[in-house]
Amino acid sequence: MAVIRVDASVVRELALALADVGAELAATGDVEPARWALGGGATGAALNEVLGNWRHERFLLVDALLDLAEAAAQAGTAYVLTESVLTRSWAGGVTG
Amino acid sequence: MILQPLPGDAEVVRGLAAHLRARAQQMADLAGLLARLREASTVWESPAGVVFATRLAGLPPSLDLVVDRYAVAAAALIELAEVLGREQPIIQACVYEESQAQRQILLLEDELARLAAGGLGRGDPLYEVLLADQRREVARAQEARARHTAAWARFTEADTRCADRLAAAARDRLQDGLAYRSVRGAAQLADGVAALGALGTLHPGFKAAGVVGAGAGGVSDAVMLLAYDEGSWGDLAADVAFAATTGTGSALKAGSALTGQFSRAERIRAGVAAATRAKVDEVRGPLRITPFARPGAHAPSLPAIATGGSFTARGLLTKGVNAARSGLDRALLDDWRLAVRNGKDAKVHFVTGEALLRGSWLTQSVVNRLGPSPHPPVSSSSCARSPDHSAAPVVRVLPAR
Repeated sequence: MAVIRVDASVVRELALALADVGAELAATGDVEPARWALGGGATGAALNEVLGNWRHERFLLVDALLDLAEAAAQAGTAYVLTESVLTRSWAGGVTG
Repeated sequence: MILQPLPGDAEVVRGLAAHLRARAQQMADLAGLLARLREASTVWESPAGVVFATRLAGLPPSLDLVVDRYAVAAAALIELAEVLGREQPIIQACVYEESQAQRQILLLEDELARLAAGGLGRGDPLYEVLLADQRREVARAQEARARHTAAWARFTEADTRCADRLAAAARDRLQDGLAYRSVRGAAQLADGVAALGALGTLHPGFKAAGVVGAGAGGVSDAVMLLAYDEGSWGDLAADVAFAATTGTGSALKAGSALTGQFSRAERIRAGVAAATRAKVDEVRGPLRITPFARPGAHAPSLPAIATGGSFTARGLLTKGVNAARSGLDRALLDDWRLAVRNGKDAKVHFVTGEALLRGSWLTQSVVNRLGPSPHPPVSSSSCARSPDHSAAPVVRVLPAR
């Protein structure tokens, strides 16, 4: 089993990406305001369906993504602290 | 008969498609990254990594389906925008052309009638000229109608094709279950409280929810909140409190009986929107890391950590853990500020409502804030942080001398 090193910036980017996507999905509503622009045909209702018939699933996904974002935030913070301590020791300062 | 213009705006449709395509790409990138992290060969050597991996395993497999939906919708909308942008001007021109022709036909009709009244008729050169003009205008109107019909048919065909593609994309595993859709549909219908009897047969809490909803922001919010944890307890609590101060005290009492049926865990799962805002802020706050190198030092680059207050390892590590709770605190404070504006009674009712709806541990935090000051003291880290994170002081972790 390979062991990869994940540095703080990667985890930070991951946390932010998760939070961004989660927030984006949470803010997704129906397309009523834009429906007039679609030409007044069947597309408006169909678009509403494709974007809106998974409301419950969307909330579950948002919840899971934000949980992951939180976990990544904790991991990132831990990495930052670890790197800081290590770097201080490399610089000849604190050794523990 | 006036021809119908084609509504719509191709540019708006293109913008909507571009938005969906960008979101699809964003989510595809994220899904790809998460898939790589899920691989068995990937190991994070830290307790936080283990926590993350555990939660990652519990992520619903719906992200890929969302990507597909958005991508299909974007492609379908782009195609529709093409046709809409092409056919709409044609239809508009036909509408104009036909209306102009009809106007000329009526004018010529009047003129011919005037000549007939003066004794002129078929065979008279002037009468024949006007008649020929009128025939030309009739042909012009017919041609405009035919072109209008053809253009409309081309758009309708594209619209149907687009709708079919969207409908096909909507029939996947992502679709909410029938039970959920039924409850939501019934809940929306019940906003007039008329369907409460039927709802009561579905779930014992729904009837009481109707009472809360009747005094607050609508039955559907209360029902969806109870049945599926959707919405905001904070909003509902404030609504109930205000309803109580304006004479519908039974709503508050009903809220008391109602919330007794639900566990504390269910109750502290606050509304999606409020929790989302709080969590995003929490994630963004402690992780504002920028490269920093101490001048003259040969040590590797150090991260600088921007926080809203003093830097402590414990504080940073507990921020994530406390995210949900401080998010609730903040939502609570916002509602509290609203209640303060409504006077002393509203404060009492608000706290009572919170006690009923949120549980004692959160209520205590409200009670602690009941002081002489109209503005409650703010103690949680998220509340203390400046909304403008860029203005927050930057604490740099420096190597020890």
